[in-house]
Amino acid sequence: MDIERELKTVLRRQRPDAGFTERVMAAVREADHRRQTSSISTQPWRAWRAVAAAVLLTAFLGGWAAHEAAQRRAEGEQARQEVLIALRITGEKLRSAQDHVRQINN
Amino acid sequence: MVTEAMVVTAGPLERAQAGDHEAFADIVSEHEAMVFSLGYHFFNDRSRAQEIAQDVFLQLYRSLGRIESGAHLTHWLRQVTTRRCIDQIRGSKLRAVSLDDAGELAAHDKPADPFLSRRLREMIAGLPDLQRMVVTLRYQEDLDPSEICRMVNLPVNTVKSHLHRALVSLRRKMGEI
Repeated sequence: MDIERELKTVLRRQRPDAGFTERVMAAVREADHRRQTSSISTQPWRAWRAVAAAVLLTAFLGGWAAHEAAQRRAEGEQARQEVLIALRITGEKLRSAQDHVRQINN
Repeated sequence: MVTEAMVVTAGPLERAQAGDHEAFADIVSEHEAMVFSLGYHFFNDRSRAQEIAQDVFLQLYRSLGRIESGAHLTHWLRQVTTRRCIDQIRGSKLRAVSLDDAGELAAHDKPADPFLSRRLREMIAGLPDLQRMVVTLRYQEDLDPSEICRMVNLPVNTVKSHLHRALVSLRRKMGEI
């Protein structure tokens, strides 16, 4: 008996039950559908991530703008104080010059 | 997207890779006997072999982008089916079912000498797992030990040894009939 020939006969390829391809294709379509559904269900998380990122960015930009405005106000106030001091000095010098002229006239 | 030019010029693999379900169904039809039979001859269980074959084709569907050619597709299907069978039997610690549990062969599959073939199938089912898989790949798929070693991820000499031991065991048992 030729065992190798017998093995080839016994182990030859066989077809699965009728409708196998259709069942595989149904499973493929279901897998596609599940993947799409899963993708949709994960979108709210993506949306929340985007919202959180937008809030953080807005807070950062708002804070930066407020800081800039405060700095500009402080610089304006300092300039005003310097002008007032300059005016006071000028006024005092004028008064001193007037007193000096009055003394010369007398 | 499947264009008209693709339908005319591309083979089923290229069309399936482009999302054509009908082309993928053609691939399943073409290879289902090979994939199913590897599982069937390993487990001696039609429904289990069909489950494995379905899982393998689903895995193929997800991996289509990595398949480079028709030859690569055949190699990939053989390798994934073989490893899935071995992993399942290792994971579940189940043996192949006896022919009494496996159901009768389909009418068109009946061999010339039904008694002898049935006895031989029982003996194959009684072989150790790796010997059974090596024998299946050798005689169902007509693969050389150098090709089988890539399927089962074993050195070629180990494959030759498994094959030799299986044949000695089968010859001895057939001689006892």
